[in-house]
Amino acid sequence: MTAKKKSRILGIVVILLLLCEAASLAVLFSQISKYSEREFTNIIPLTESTGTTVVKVINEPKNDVYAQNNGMNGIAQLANPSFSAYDEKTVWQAETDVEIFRISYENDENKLTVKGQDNNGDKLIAPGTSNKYVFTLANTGDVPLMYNLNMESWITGTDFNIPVEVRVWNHENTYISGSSSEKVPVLELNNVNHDSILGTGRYDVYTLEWEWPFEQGNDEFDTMLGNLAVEDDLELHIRINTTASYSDDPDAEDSGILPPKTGDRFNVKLYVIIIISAILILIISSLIKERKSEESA
Amino acid sequence: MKKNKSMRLAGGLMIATMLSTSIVSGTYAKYVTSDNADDSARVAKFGVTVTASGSLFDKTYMSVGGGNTPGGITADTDNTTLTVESSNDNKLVAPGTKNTEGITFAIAGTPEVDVKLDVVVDEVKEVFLNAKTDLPDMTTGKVDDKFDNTDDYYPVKFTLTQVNGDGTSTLVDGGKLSEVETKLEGLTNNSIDANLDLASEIGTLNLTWEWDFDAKGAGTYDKQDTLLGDLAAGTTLVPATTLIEDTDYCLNEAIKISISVTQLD
Repeated sequence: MTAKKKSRILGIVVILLLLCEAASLAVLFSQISKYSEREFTNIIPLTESTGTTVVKVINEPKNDVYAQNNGMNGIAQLANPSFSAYDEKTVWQAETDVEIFRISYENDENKLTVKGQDNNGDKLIAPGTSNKYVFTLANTGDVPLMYNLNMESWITGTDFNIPVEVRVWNHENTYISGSSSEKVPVLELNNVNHDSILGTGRYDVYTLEWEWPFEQGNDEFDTMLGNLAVEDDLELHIRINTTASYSDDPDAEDSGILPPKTGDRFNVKLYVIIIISAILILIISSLIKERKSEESA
Repeated sequence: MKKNKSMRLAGGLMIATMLSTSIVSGTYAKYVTSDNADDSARVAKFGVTVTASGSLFDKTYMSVGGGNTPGGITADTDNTTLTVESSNDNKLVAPGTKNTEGITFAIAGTPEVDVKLDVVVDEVKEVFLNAKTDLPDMTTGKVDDKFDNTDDYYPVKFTLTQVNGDGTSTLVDGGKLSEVETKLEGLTNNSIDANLDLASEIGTLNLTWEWDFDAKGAGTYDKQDTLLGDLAAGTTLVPATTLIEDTDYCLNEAIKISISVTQLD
């Protein structure tokens, strides 16, 4: 085999190697990109779908303006929107189990007063039980978002109503269900349908409080439910739904709580790109050096 | 040298392609995201039962052959076996009568909530003849026959037993009704933890009684029993004596027991 032929084969191998690297990196980065730009812990990735791409016009002199990609002049950089819903323990994804209810409850003296049988992990409700569930909706991307928050509640196992009362409010003490002085029947959660906007890096905090009043003046009804529960599972279900999308509302940028800036905003993607690029350059350099030494030999 | 330049160029292009590809990847999206959170809970089980069965007193009582026990409502059709029979709708007690089955309270269930047992006893009345001298001896009917009742006399003796996970225990053994009241109300407790079996924790309470016909030998309490019987009948006392009802004596036996199991907050 001639040296020319060897050199041609080597060149093809190098190109194929680079193509493979490129393909794998593309896949790698598509995954990494979902976890980059973390300003909050517990960020979940966006659900991707085909559609109009949102761009951020960098050279806008006044404010950051976001527009649909409609042929505007300027250097455009693809935006990185991200929306996250989470509580102190769990990041929501599709049908995430959260702790609105509990498997046991304590009274004011920290004594356990309600607890499931056999430690089977069943969550319970009973007269006198209550809880507050606090969750956060955060714009973790770099474009403003509008979001919808709606709730559902339903009862299974009985046609009777379970006398649980609720109210829902946000960090500005704006009540989207019930009021500061009054809770409403739990099934009224089905009327919660709240739209709001979130600026970049901002978040809203909501509290869902529920209570089964101990003294509601109908002990017989409470007792009947407790006795029916011996034979059948009388269950109360609550679901919280959120949907977020890009917002072009000019007021959106100032909406929501702005977290204090803390620490280094470490850009994972950039660091990975630099490291892998350096490795590739080293590989290519060594190949070239090897060829040189072969040719000189 | 030309090849080296080509290689370097190719490498640079590839790196640039990779960089742009990686940046672009993951961003071709319509920025819509949705999440939801679910939770559900079931109603905690209660299922506590407090069952009362039987009765303490009756309008009729069987003969000694029938056990001196309550005759039930068959008095008119089976009166040959009855030795005590009320002349009206009043329930009776009399010397020799007893109720060995009595009244039973059964508490059961395993609630998933803390509960509290409340036992309330009220409207207690019991037959007695207080200690007193020179009481008329109605067994003879003679004007000068008197007797001294040296101790307060409570003829009806009650027995209260409890059967639970610890076995059978006798809380009152042939005592007064007031002792029963004390023991029953003593069962009231502050808290029973969730998921404890109440049949094991509290279980069954049974109350029985007996008016012994002849507790300490023949005729021991005949004078007291007869005097109480005559007082009940309104018979004129001989010799004439003034006795005050509910102070010197009582002719009624009664107790009201309320047992409840309530969830604790």
